[in-house]
Amino acid sequence: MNTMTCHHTSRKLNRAIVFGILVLVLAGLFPGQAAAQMGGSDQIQAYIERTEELLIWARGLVAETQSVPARRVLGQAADLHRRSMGMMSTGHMLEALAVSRRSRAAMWHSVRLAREAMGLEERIRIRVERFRDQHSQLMERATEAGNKQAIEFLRRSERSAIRAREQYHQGDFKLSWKMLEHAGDLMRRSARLLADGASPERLEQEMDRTRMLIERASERLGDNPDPQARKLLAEAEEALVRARQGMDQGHPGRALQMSGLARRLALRAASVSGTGPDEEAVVRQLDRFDERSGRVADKVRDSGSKQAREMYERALQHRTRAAEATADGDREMALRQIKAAHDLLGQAEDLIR
Amino acid sequence: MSVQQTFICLAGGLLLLPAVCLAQAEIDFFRDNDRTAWSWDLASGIDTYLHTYALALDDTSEALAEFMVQAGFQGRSARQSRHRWRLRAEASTGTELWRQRLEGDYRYLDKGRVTRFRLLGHFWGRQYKQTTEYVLSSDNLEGRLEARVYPLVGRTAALDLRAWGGLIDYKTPSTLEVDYKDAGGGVFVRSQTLGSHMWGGGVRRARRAYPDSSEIDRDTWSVEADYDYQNLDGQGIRLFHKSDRRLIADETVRPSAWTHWTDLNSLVNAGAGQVYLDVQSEIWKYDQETDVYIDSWLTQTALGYRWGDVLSAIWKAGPVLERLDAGDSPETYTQLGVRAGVESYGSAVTGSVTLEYGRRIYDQGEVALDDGSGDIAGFQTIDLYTDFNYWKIWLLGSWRISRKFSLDFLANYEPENHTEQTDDSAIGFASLHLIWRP
Repeated sequence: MNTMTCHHTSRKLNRAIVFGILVLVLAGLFPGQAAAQMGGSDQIQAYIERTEELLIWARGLVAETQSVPARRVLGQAADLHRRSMGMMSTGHMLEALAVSRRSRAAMWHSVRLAREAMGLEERIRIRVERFRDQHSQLMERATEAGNKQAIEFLRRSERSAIRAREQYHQGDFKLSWKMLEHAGDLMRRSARLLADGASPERLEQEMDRTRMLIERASERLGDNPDPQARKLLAEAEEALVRARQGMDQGHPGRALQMSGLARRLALRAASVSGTGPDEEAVVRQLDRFDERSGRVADKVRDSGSKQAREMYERALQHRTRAAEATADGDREMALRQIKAAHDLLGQAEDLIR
Repeated sequence: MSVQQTFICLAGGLLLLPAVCLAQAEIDFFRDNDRTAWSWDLASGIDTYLHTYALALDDTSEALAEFMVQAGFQGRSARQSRHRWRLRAEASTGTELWRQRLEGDYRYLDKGRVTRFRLLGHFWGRQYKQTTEYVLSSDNLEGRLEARVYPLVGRTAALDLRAWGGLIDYKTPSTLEVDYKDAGGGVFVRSQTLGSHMWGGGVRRARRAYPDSSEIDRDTWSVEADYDYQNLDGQGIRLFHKSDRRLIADETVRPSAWTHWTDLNSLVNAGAGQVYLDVQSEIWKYDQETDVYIDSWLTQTALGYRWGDVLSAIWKAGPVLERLDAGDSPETYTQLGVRAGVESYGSAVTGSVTLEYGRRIYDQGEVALDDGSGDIAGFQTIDLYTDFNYWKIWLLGSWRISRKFSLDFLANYEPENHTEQTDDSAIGFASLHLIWRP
């Protein structure tokens, strides 16, 4: 048998240690093929004996992993090798060679599966730990918020993670990885739902914001008799009522949709009437905030709640920014700031309620 | 189990549900938020797994379909209680195995409604049927119990001390069904405010012992930190990092390793929608590389645009890039694809469809050999890994048929079309469950 060396086509062999065994594996492959092509019995026998050596090496490698598919394919390779040995012993040399080649192909496939599985086995281990922590945190948040949709996603996510774990125990790491990815995706959706505002506390803010917008649009319309604007405003109010109903009935998604619709209608009403945010509207909101905050301040102080106090202080900061923006003539910014201030004040009230 | 048998089982299970429900109808349940609440559910469904790959030059399709009927019972404390708890017990029987599951979560809150103690646990039991098609079929029990104490809770942050233990116990251990026991502890700090910024971090130490293979016992040290910012417009950023040092009892059997894992998810308003960027980085560094333990750096990036209404439909689309850098190892690859999807959270139907199409290109999946003669004619090559085009198809949905009945389904299918046809493979799973919640 010729002495052969292995090297990569495009790069130097600076990972010789890692691929040392690989070199040995491959070294046996091609001389055998060449010999077989020559058709000599001795060469065919050498090829088949080399296959046996390779199978022993592959067995050691596959045994390092818990991969069941790799083991199964390697078992198939060993069966084929036994068949080729049997054919060789009965003198059917060319048939023995063909089967031995199939044995090597299967052997090599098992090595690939084992290497792939090893990486996944390690990755799954660290992901599971993270999944457990995140799931526990999100479940706590979703339960506290009473967000049914988020809870449902978390339940399904957990179910997928359990199935992923079972596949892991079955040694099918690729499938386990896919299922764990799926569980993670469901968990992210749940987190997204909680962040997007489909939770009661966020919904409440959403409702307040919409209500304020409708009130503002109504104030701006004043005595404007424009029937289209009046109709749009009435529809906005109706949508807000439906949003409230949706929230009360435990359908945060529907509530969110109706609230969004109400806001869009209110904005259209304002736009039809030709009014935009004016300084007077901002000043009115500032006054309203001052009136509300005066009422809330004592309650926050008496409650002793640190979180409520923090919310209250943040609301005051936003109120200050709103006043600054008004002075600068930036009414859009002023409106945004005063809205945030109202929202935070609402949260502070909720905390001490 | 044949498709026909599966169908009969599924249909039978669905028919069985109402009968069982009626039999249980006299049980009284409380749904008031201010009181302890109990509820229960029944589910019937089927889970299928498919894996197609080359086996000794012939394509092999492995498919397993598992039908099951499951009953669950759960309770929770009143939301305002200072002793808050959740409990879920579940049992199922299927064509492959029986399963039991018990999960609990208890929290003690002080007068200021601050959590001071928490206990979480789960136990899963599995008993395989004699006719099971699963390859590994030793009955087993798996469990974990974790205690958390919050001795210091300040205005902005809380100290969180944790200790846990876990195990898996096989009735008939084997090479691939190995018993182990886990134990560990950790110290964490987590933000307390309800503001837009949330953060946390900590250190944990864990030990896993294998009674029958003590040479692979491992000790792990980890540090981790996360930060989450969300504003009222839905914009935000999430960051997570964890570094992990794993020490193996006998390094000649399995090398010790470092792992560094970083996640970044961000969402920024742009026009009528939002631009999202998700980046994940995972670095594995072994003390000594072997044929199966290879140093690597995996990065996955998804960048795209998300738009639409939360109830009608949210669309998203964008490119995805994945790169595994394993030095000169043949595993090193670059993968580029395009992902698009739509999701909807309606009151009756919730669902999403996601498609991804792309290509994976190996840097040097091919290894060349020469016969030592230096003659170019003496070169031979073998493909360890071959480039491929792929599809990823995800389908997820839930149909609320009525107030009490819902149908959950999901499916995933990922075929790979390789330049070398014998390397073609496909993997997938699907699940369909009908759930009744009285």
